[in-house]
Amino acid sequence: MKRIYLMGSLAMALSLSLFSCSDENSDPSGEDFKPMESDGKYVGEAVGNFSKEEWYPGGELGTTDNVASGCYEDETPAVTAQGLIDDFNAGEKFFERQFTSANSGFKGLGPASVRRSCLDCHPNYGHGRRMDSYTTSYGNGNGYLLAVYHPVDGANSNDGGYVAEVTGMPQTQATEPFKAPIDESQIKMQWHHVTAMESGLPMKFPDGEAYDLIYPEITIPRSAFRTNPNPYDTGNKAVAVRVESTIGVMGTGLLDAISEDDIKAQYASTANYYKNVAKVANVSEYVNPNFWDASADNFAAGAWYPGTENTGVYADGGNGKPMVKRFTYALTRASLQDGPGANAIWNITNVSRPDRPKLYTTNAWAAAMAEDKEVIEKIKNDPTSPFWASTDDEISKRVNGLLKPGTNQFSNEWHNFEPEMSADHFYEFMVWHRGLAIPRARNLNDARVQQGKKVFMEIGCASCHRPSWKTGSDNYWTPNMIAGKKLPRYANQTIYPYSDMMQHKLYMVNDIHGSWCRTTPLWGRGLAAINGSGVERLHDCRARNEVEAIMWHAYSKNSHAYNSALKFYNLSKADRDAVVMFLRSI
Amino acid sequence: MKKFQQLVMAFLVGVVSFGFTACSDDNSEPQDFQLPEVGQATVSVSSSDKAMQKVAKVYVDQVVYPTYKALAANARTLYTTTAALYSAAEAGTMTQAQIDAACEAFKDTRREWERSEAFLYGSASDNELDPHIDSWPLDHDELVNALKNPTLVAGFKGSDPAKFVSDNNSKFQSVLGFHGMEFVLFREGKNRTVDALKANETEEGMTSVKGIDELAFLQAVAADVRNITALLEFTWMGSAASNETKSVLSNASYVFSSLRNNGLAANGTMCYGQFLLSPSATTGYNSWQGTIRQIFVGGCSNICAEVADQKLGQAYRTATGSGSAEDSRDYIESPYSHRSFIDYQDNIYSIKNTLYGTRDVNATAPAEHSLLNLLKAMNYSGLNDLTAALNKAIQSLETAKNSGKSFVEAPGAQHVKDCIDAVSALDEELNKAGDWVNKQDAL
Repeated sequence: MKRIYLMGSLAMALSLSLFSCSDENSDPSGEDFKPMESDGKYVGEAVGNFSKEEWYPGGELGTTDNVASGCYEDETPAVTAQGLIDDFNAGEKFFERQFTSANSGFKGLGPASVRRSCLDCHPNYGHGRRMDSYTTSYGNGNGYLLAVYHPVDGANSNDGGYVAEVTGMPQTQATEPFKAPIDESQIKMQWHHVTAMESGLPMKFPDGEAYDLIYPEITIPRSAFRTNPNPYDTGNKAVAVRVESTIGVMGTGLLDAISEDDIKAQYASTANYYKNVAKVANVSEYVNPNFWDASADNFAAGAWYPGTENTGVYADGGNGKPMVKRFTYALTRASLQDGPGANAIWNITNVSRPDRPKLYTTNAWAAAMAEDKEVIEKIKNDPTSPFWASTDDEISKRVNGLLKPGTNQFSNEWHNFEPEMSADHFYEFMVWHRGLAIPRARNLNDARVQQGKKVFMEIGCASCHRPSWKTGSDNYWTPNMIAGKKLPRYANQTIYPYSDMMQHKLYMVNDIHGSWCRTTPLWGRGLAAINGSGVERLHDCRARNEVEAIMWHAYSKNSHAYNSALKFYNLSKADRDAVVMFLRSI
Repeated sequence: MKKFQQLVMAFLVGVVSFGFTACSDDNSEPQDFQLPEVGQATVSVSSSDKAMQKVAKVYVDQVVYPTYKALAANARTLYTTTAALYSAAEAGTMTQAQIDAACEAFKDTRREWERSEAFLYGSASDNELDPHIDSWPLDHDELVNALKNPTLVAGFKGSDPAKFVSDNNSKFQSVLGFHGMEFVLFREGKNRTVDALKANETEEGMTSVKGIDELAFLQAVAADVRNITALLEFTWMGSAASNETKSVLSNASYVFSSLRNNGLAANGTMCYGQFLLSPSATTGYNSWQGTIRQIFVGGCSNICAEVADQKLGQAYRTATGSGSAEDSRDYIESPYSHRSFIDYQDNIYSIKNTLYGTRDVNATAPAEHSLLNLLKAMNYSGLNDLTAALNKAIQSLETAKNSGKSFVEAPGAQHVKDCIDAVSALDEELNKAGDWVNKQDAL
């Protein structure tokens, strides 16, 4: 135990060197680079201020004991116990492999796509990486999605509706002979340093250690849009851009198993705090009024996702109803089976399936392609193309018709395509998706980690990063296409995602599109480095480490987390380091 | 511009590495480019080392490093032979011997790659070098489009095909690496012929592609693979990498431009060998037990599961009807050379090498400071089960290799199921051993 209080070690100095601009590197071969005590003997036992359950953040049914590299890929114990391992393994390939434009087992890429494989955005199943430029390529770790919108202030507001000319998740790739709706090479991404915190906090901790915060500025010029009309000519004629990174896909099935009643109780509790304890003037500043009606003490209409109503069934056979949104930063999705992954396997690659007969495109792009002489010329020279016709005008009509988002690809007047992904394959994919485990916690026996938990709780981080939930009966919803087929089920599990599943605002410079952001689960993130995933945090990966992420919470005094982050700012270095250790262990 | 950004970020994380100062986007190689300064791991065994530390050092020094060195060396030969083949084809003097030499060089390179897959963690994974050089299935449409594109073909035939591929692969990224090369060199399990490569492609939907353009593509992709394998060696070994590899990278500064932290570990401060051998709170795998568990589970078990569940399992499940009905060919790696079973056996040999602490795949006794001897010294009760499972997995693939049918020809055969079962059993034993070690005191 003598190593436990070895604060200020070179090891820690190295780990935190990211927020220093200095080039003074610690000597990684130095004497203080000591191995830790293995946690193997303590796993599953109560240690210090951790209960024995906290070793298993996904509960008995949702946690993998594996904490080595590759652990994000593991199936949950439920997958094996419930006889779904073959389907899980079969589904994995659709996540890992590149989709192709040619006829193959992975056919269907394009004609426009955001990426060509899931793995492109989820490097080694984990969080996206911070990028210096917006470049998409197979497995390069760029997990960013662009958010392209008309800023309400006509300049750089975080708020404003998406431009209609490109898809909500804008595409920068296209298969021959088409051109991507946005020319990726013209996207300009710059990283700026914060020179002064809006809150007035110095860029040094009281003990003199400096921290550095950076943030992205992204612009897309008019010439990059291959759409008609150009978004600079629509709406308020201003275009702003933000990026949002993927988070890890592990453990998402467990979040799907949290009951709606419990989520409602979390909203009610939070709203009650602001209304009756903090007694703020405007609760809607703190609890998104689109999701919660503080006066009625109930969900607002916007909390409900209508797409599950009468389009699928629950595990108990009941007919689908509107469901409470819980997934994505913007809280746009409810059931995992119609969530970001189920959607992405269709629209990121534009791979159709029986229940998704239409392309993820826009009329403006279809129009631009129909007018593009180079596109027309290439089609004219390829009589095997489904877009081919005897005259340029006819080709143009077919391009426009077949590329429009409203056209049923399987039944139209120009060319009837076949579904590219079968219902069976989609089912396998969903078994895999819902079956991904969360790795067990690490080093809870370490006194630094225990101190980190104590401080994390004391300074109020847990108010939003709610440590635990107990899942309900997990009466999950499935779309009609795979209705009645069994998925991994996680009933009555105590889980530790460290999220309240609600949105808050941090008031950062160039903040997230829409200003509100769901509290990102913290579980499993400490294993990002050895899994080869992005170690960065926050929605656009602006935080290169945990300390930067926390200090972004204190960028503005308006931040909902300002008080907690201020307390972190005033901690001793030993306690700051302990919080980091804790975050890397859960 | 990328180079400039890389330079800025390298400075930010405190890594002074690039010596060049040019920020231009032009194609000329910076004259003063120097490899990132990273140092190297201490791999020599010291009497004061803990037993687990000795084993980890031997693993790094005797298995990982020489495998990557052999891979990079063979990839250099592969490039040389494919470049010679293309030149001969252009000159009208192409011979079958030249094609055969390229095929042999491909097999030699492929073998070392497959024998590195028990340590895909680290650089291959973190820098996404695995998908870059070993992605499949091949997108035939993409290959056709690339080989019908005059600009791309001119680039493949240009003065610096490796740089061209590195800079311009957005339109053919799915056909890079081993399987793009395999497609050009092999068909139906046999080496391509002079006549075939003089003519147009015969694969369905690809008959407009000229053989000479395929050969230009082949040598360009081989040049890219030469660079990437050099990067693997360098990022694992740091300054201990071979001079040949350093020379390759010194002439290809662009390979670093898309990498974070120059492709190195611990924010660019360590090569991966050093990272693995530096367990602490913030580097490596925390403890020596964690390091050993990483080798067992993060390394060996991962490739075991991949071979059983994915490489063999996907096509087998499909072919036997327990999966879906689509054809299984698309789920089979190395379908053109018919060398799937050889690949998979090499994967298991990479596990054997790891456990034995030597690259001699015929070894009957493990090295002194090997994982197997460590388990023996610790009185691990499952040792015999582990070695028996290893031998059975290797033997099952030997049987499959000798079955007279390649995997793509008989994906639903009983011997495939036998391989799946044997490799899965080995996976289980590897996990057991890794978990057990993690619960022991560090000897």
